[in-house]
Amino acid sequence: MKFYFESINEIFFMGGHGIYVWIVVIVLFTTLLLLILNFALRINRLVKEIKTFSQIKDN
Amino acid sequence: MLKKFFHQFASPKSYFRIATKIQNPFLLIFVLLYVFALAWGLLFTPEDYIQGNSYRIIFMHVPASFVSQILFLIMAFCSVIFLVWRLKLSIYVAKSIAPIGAAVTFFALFSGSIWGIPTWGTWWQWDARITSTLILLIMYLGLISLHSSFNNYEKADRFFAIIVLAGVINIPIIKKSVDWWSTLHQSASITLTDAPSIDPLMLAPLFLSIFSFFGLIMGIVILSSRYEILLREQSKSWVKSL
Amino acid sequence: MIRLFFKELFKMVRQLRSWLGPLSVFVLILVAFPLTQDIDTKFSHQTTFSFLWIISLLVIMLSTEKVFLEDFDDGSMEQHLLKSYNFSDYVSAKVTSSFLLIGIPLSCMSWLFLQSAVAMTNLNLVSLLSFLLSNFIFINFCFFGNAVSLKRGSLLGLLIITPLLFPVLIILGKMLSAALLGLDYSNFLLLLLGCSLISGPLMPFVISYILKIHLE
Repeated sequence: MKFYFESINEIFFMGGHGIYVWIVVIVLFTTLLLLILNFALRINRLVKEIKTFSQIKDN
Repeated sequence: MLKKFFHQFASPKSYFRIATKIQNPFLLIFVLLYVFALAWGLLFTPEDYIQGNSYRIIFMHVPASFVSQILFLIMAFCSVIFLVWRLKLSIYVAKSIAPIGAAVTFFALFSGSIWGIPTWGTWWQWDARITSTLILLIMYLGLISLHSSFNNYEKADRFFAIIVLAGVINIPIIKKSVDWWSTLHQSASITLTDAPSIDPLMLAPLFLSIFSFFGLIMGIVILSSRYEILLREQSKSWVKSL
Repeated sequence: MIRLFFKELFKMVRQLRSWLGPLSVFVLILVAFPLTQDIDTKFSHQTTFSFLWIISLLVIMLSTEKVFLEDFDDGSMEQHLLKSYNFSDYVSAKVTSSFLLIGIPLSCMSWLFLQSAVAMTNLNLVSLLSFLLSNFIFINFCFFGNAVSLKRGSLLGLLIITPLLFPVLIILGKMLSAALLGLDYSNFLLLLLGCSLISGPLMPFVISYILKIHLE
């Protein structure tokens, strides 16, 4: 394993192709993050709803 | 004993318990592994002779398109189990895969079209594989809208399972489209039967990224199937006592 | 079985709008298509063929929009379910009569249009066969989509079945380009035949299963 690039500038530009690569990376991680957050938040909200609902019933 | 194990595991309650326990470590491991594989692929592999640096998109594009097809197959498998043995859990899992599959397929199309700009000079081409992947995306969206259009969960589940089984014919067509029709899209770099037509230096991170992306998506499937179970089993006593 | 088929056939013949309507829409579109082009331009084979396939698909979708809804509403579907014969026979009788009254005329008209539009050399037989087979598959799948979205309008069913029909369209296109190049196109024709042989007997079972769920 050998580090391929020589400077930070080169990592960003990648000989003119860097913009494509990094756009895809950004979109990938936003998609994954949105998926995970979406479901985690939904679960939290649902659990809260169920809890309040059962409390109302108990009272 | 095996039967008993399956019976216990297949109840939504015990599945939910196990899933809650393993979900976070599972996700964490595969996220780290995927980030490692990406870093390896993006920064530590040499440049491609023909495509230049833009080939590095392969480490995101190939796992996504692979997983988008595998997810549909898993969905079909779950649907068969549901239709034959009436296992509730399997249709919960199948249902929870659909939105994730749509997202992954969308990403596969998106990354492919971005990759197409520098290499093919066009971001979209009506060739067989791209079109059939678009069909896969439409199938996922159609399945989601089908399921949400019923207010009766039981009917919706059965329709969902039938349509998934009908849609499976698309998967071999996507897989084979590049071989059957000579098009712009390059043919598969890795096959089970032949030696891979790709340098071993790039192959190792590619395999690692496919594997870890699959694991990562499976982690998200666990997450969303937990949501689905909670949603459907709201009225059960074990959910209320959580 | 045969009595059931004739019953469905006559029922459909008596309802003129259910088959004459789509056919006349088809004719109108066929007339409209040349109007959009210059008189002396020759149509290319590919364009004309794909135009005809897509139009027949759309007309079939239009014609099958309410096939099951009327029977479902007036309760005759439930009676068919309760009778002694197989429920899938009822579905296949409907599919067959629809193919006889809509699918075959559509194929013949498309074939006639081809004769007038493009110079036919070696495509005579293959075009008619491909129209017949593709219309049969289209009708089967449209019934399937219609059964899924029985009471919810045909849009949802279309959204689901259209992706399933794309492989058929791809095969048709490949067959045409092979035939135009003078290559052997029989394998594509056999593939199409296989598709229709699978969907012909299988679809009535699937559709009757779906309708049973609706009737529960």
